[in-house]
Amino acid sequence: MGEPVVPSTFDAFEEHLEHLPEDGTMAIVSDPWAGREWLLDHAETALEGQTRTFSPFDFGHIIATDLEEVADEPLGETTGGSGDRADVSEADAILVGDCERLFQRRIGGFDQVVALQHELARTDRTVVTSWNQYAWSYLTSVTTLADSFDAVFEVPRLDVEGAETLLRERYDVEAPERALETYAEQADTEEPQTELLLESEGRLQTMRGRVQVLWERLQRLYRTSTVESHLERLVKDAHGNPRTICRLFDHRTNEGRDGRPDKPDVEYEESYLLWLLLTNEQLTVEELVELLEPGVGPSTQGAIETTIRKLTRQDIVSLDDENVSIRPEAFGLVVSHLQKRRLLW
Amino acid sequence: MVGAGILGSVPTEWLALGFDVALQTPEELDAPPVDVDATTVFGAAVTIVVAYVLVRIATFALTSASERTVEYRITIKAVIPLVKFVIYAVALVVILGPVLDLTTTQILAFSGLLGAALGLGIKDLFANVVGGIAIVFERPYNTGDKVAIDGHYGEVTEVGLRSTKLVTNDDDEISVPNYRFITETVANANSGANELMAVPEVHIEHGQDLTQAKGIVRQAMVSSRYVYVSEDHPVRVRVDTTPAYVTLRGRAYVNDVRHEFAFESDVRERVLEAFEEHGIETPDVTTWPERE
Repeated sequence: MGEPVVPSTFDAFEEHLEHLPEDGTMAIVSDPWAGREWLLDHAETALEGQTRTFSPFDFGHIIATDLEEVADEPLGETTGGSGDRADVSEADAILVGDCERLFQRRIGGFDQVVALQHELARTDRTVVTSWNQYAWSYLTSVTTLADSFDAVFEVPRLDVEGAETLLRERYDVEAPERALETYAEQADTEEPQTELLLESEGRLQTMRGRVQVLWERLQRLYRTSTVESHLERLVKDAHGNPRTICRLFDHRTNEGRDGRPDKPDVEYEESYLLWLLLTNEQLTVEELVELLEPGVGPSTQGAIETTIRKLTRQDIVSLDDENVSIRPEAFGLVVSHLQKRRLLW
Repeated sequence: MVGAGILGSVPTEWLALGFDVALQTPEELDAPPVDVDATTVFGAAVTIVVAYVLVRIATFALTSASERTVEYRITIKAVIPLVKFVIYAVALVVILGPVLDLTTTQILAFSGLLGAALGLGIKDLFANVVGGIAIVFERPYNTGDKVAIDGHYGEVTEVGLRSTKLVTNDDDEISVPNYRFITETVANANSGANELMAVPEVHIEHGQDLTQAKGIVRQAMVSSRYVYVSEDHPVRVRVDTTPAYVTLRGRAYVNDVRHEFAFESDVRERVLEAFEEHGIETPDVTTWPERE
């Protein structure tokens, strides 16, 4: 059913849903693992009348076929989705999740988004869709998608209060701040990883190494000298993402380590691959090959596999049975990295 | 002829050149003699070396910092020539201050000599230095900007006191004397911003489906991995016609000035592939001489 949301977010969503007219259209937008699936499921039970939920593949096939446009096949789908126009017509409310899968960032890859806009313009029933935040930002910049919806509900990132509520419920811990303090005290007594590594070689060998150690010491000095609480630091490191907050909290309190990988050490083309993973949340290697067109960057299967291996070694992505996704622990770093590369707007 | 100083009479016109020290008797020269000895020279040399080392360290540190971030790269690089100028200016003051403890008379004499030297032909060098100072303070462009000057187009990599260095798309380093930037028209493509407008162009035959062709060009631009789109940075396609062919000229911004040519190449390549797929004909260049 997906990650639940904190009560304040749920209340705000309920209010949006109540004000949605009978033939209204809504987009639920959120970061990965931030609760939009859960909200969509809740909408299914909350909306009156007969509701029908479609996958993006099926819905995309229906609307594109209906408009007699040659639709590019959605990612990973074989020819012909299930369901037809009758399924849409019979329902009082339509729900479609993960609509970011309706588009591909290439020539001809926006056809199904255009078809969706046509559908929303002429529909007489409630339509609720959900979108990945970063795909939504991109699409609303390059198309008029946002104008097609009567309401857009953006799931807010967790603040300190929200994180505290989440951690209390998830880990049954009364005072998350105190638990994090214990980790911080332990961490301050340890040498930075880089220093240990370099000193194990006998001496700090290079100017770069010395600068790196000095920078880590300055960062620790900054962290201990500011009035920022440990929970504030956790929320900032996690970029307000619920799953990332939980994972980092777990690492920091149970294992006594930061939990985040190092900043991505990647070229621009590899950063673009990270963008694809961030906006699609999970892709197979074959899908990545299809999306990365030849001529620029790692476009062959072998090259992409090499890049994935490189990112796996850096603990940025995980490869699970052909499915590639960004590790929750690396989420904040990936977002920050892509913002600096100006791949996120 | 006037005067009857220690060197005898001097022509009137020499006064204009500042050679009036000769008109004065030693008693009138109330300034103490210039104290230049080995210590002074050594101090000046040390000052120059220290200034040079400081400039190298500052340049290295700022360049390294700028390469770590796309967002602030151009802003940080723009500070580099200013820092260099300040360091060298301070060094000059430190050297000349105690050495040239000049009286008014000596300053006038020096100005006369300077005027003669300028007249003798180092005026261009002086013009370049003045140009460099003007560039630092007026900032018609910064390090990191893409500029067109004197038929050259490239990224400004260094603003020196005498010349400005550009690196072109062919990786040629062009050194342009600073005075050229004052006297010539300079086109600045990004004026300190990270994004820059790129204009990829493609041609099609007359009679093709223009709507479809424009749609393909637009989709190619917005789907490029180098593009940057916002309300202030829209994407457009313009159509121009000639008797021989129709030109589709795209206009879009790239997220980093260094991606300008990669973007144009990426768009053109994918557009041509899509044209072929959709049966949109591009001009046959072998018949162009006949058409012209």
